[in-house]
Amino acid sequence: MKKYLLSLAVLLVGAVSFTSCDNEEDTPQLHLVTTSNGAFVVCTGNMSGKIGGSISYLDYKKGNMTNDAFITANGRGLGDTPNDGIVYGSKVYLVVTGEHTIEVMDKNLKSVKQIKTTDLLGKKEGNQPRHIIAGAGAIWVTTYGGYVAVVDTATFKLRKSYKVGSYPEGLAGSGNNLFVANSDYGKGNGTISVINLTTGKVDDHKIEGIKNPQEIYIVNHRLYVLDWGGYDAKYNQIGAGLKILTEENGKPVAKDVVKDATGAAYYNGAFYTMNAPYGASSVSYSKLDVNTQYVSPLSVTIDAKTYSPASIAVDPATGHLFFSLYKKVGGHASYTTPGSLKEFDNYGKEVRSAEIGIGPGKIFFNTRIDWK
Amino acid sequence: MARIAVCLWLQPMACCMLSAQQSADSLHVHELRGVEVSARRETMGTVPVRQVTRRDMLDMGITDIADALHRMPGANLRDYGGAGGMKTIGVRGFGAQHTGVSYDGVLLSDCQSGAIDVSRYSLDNVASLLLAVGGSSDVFVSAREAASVAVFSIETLRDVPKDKRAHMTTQLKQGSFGYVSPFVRYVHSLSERVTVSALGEYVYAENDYPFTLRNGIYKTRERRANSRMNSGHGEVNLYLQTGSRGRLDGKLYYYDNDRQLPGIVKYYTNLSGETLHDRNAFAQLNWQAHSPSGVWSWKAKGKFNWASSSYRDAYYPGGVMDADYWQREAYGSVAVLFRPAEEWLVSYAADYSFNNLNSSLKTDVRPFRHTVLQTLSAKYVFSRITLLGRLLFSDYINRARVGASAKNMRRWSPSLSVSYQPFAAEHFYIRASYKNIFRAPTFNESYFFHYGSTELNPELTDQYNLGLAWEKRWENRVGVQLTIDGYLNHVRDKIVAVPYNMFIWTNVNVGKVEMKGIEGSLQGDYRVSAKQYLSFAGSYSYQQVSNHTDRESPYYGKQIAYIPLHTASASLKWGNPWVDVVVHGTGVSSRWPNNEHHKGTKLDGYWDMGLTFSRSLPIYKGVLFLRGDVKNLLNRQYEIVGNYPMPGISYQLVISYNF
Repeated sequence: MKKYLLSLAVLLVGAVSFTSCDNEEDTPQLHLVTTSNGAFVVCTGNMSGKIGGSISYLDYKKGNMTNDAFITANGRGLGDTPNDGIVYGSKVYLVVTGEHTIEVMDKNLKSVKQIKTTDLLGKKEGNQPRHIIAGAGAIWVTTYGGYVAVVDTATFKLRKSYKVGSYPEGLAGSGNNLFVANSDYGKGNGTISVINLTTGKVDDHKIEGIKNPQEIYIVNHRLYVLDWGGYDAKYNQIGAGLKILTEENGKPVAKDVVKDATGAAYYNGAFYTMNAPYGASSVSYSKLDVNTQYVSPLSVTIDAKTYSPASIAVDPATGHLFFSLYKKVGGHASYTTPGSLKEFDNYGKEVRSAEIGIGPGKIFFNTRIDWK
Repeated sequence: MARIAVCLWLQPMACCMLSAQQSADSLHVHELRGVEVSARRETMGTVPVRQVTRRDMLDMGITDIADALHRMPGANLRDYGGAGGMKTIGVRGFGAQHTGVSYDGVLLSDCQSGAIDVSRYSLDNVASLLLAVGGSSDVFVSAREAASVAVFSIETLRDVPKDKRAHMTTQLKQGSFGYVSPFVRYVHSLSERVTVSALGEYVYAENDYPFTLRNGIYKTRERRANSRMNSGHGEVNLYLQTGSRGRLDGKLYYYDNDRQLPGIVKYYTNLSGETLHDRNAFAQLNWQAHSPSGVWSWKAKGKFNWASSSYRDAYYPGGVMDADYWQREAYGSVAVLFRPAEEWLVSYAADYSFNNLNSSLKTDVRPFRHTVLQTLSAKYVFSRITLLGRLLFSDYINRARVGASAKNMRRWSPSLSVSYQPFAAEHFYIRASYKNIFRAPTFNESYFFHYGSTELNPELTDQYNLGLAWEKRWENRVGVQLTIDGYLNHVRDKIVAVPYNMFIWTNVNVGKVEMKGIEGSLQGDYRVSAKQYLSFAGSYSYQQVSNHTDRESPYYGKQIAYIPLHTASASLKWGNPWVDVVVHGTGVSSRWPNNEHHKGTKLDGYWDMGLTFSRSLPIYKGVLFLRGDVKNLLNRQYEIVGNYPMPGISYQLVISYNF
């Protein structure tokens, strides 16, 4: 038991490195420079309104937003509920939950390959892929079937799969460990799975203070978890927040570092968070200094009458903050009208705002890493 | 005085099992005594009514209840496709929860969703279907029949054989996509006063029909998967003549449907792990009698209903989507009709019902409801004027075993309708009606965890109708019946439900809706020769159903999701001694699947044609009946609900023997 606690509370740095659109490399990369050419926004669509998912792309240089970029490039749609995406090497990967697919594209979004996770893992096991990270020449994808699939990015073959906890969502890797946030479909018994990549052993940890974990971050060898908590019968948000894993009396516990958060992004020593609980009238934005653990209000101006935030992200190259936003219609967030993307510079000044697709979700960046 | 009113417009007989529509019409005898009766109720009524009898079903080539509804002007059917697909009926732009559906005189209830899935009811034992919008022309109805925007009545066969031997109908239906349905019905008059009938029906269908999937510039042929259904239905009926002036009907009913749900069509997968098992049992009694003078008439009804539904999704680990629901209803109604003078009819009705719902969900609050409805109605028939006024008082008492209960509701709802015949010699009538009614939120809307709200107010509606109806016969050779109605409706506090899948609905509160429409029907027949005739039936409806919630909103004035501007149907039958042929079609113009009219989501209009061939042959002591249908003759690919494709060309064969 003690060993697991150690691995949860303080991580050991190993050889394998992972990238994801939210968290920075924690290992110093002295001779590598990240540049970013644009931002992708995953739009889930709305199948009840017969609106398929789409992807929008903001080109920094041209300064323009291209909506429906996938169907324009390929003549076919993404389908039901694209949920996550990443740029890795020369390719873009999109995870489409309702279709059980991973779309692999070049940087112009021309399709290279469509991977069916239900073919890869089995109908039950590969059902509803959710989140993706990349590293060690592979993409790592969670599925509602309860698995993490490791797909080789050279051959697109399944390298390995791991059975994890209930309804895994976000994941993060460091060294030879992979950490998975198992949401338990919001039923309240969420866990954190730790996969030892050397031995292939998976341990599932029930941690006090963790209910509905959605994302997991590794910063300065510490684990941070974004927990959506739940809602009581009167829609009061309960137990949501950004939490840090620690140990107390020999037991792993999660402590709030930002109380009440539904979105988070890490950049350069700070977490940027937003809280937009379902049906909420008030939305808040915060900044957490990781070193001092000091939380301050985030100085961005988003008109709460017009917009309801869907997700938050920071460009790892520029440090600019991005929000994907639902538009409000008749006082409520509209899930059937086009959303917006807003970009703020390091001073919190809005530098760009553009209309995107329907059902705005995850933002990820068109990054490249060069030796410099 | 004949018990059966002579208000049926008799045509050459082709069907072997036509039974007189006596259940409802018998009462018209009292009402209309002294008035010359020869027009149909569709023409004479004070409100728009469309009736489809068993004969019409054959004359119009109707294949199932959904098809029958497509031929009724003003009906908006939601159809998820195929034999296993749920079908609910809205009228004139109102949601399905506003349509009451009655089965042999007692309204069916679903306190959970508020909408009745009419796909449960096959036409094999149906005598007639009737859709009445904005009230009833009948003064003597239960209070509950007056408590909805429209009532769709299913009347089953209740023929009483003249002889004392057992009569049997055995039937086998077979169709495309693995459809097979045997049906057996037995009816026996044990004595002058006692008749029993029993029936059993089973339906198996694979429903794995092919369809064309359009994805961007690509078109592929796919098949529906996980769509099988296994369904059975059994009934026992008892018809008693009580004394010389009364009758008592009893019914025991059971329905069981275990089906897979294919879900919405997706681009790259057809995996679905969804199943739904519906069960419904009820027992009902209907009693009616009148005094020797006919001055007083009485009715009483009682029903106990039990229904369960079990939903499973095998692809969600831990059964997180699985749910079981059970609901019960106890219902009783008494009504009295008083005829103080030749031209006056006054009726009072009081109904009570108790509904409750419980589920396997942890968040279940076990809601229940007492409903007391009372109506006072008066009908005045003088010379060529008929006036009918009704006042409904509703009292809804809502409670939940756990937690907050929904609001109680008390309201007065008036309605008034009139029919005028300008020329004594012509069956030409002008009708006008007004009805104010509301619907209480369903238990899902009030209590479903997070989705429901106990603060909901009822949806309020007003309906205004103005119409013309005319019918004429020339020398028993040519007959024409025409109706045209224009209407104006308002809904306040409207909740529009948009399906996410068959079980989970997302409610969009549109607030205010305005409906304007015109609808018409034309029926005609022409006797070509002694043994040949042509008959035509057509309907058309124009519905402008627009969002009037927020003047500032970009969606103000836009047509509500899923309501087409134009709906039409037509059928033409050639009746002859060899094989009767009907060619028919139904269609709608394009619709939006969302209230925002999002670019690229429009559902195209369609025209669905069908062909029906039928023949009856006397064989031995009975009648052999053969029928063949070609459905969707033009093989059009269309959707009624977005991402639920309808089947293409298919066939259905019926063979039955009746003695």
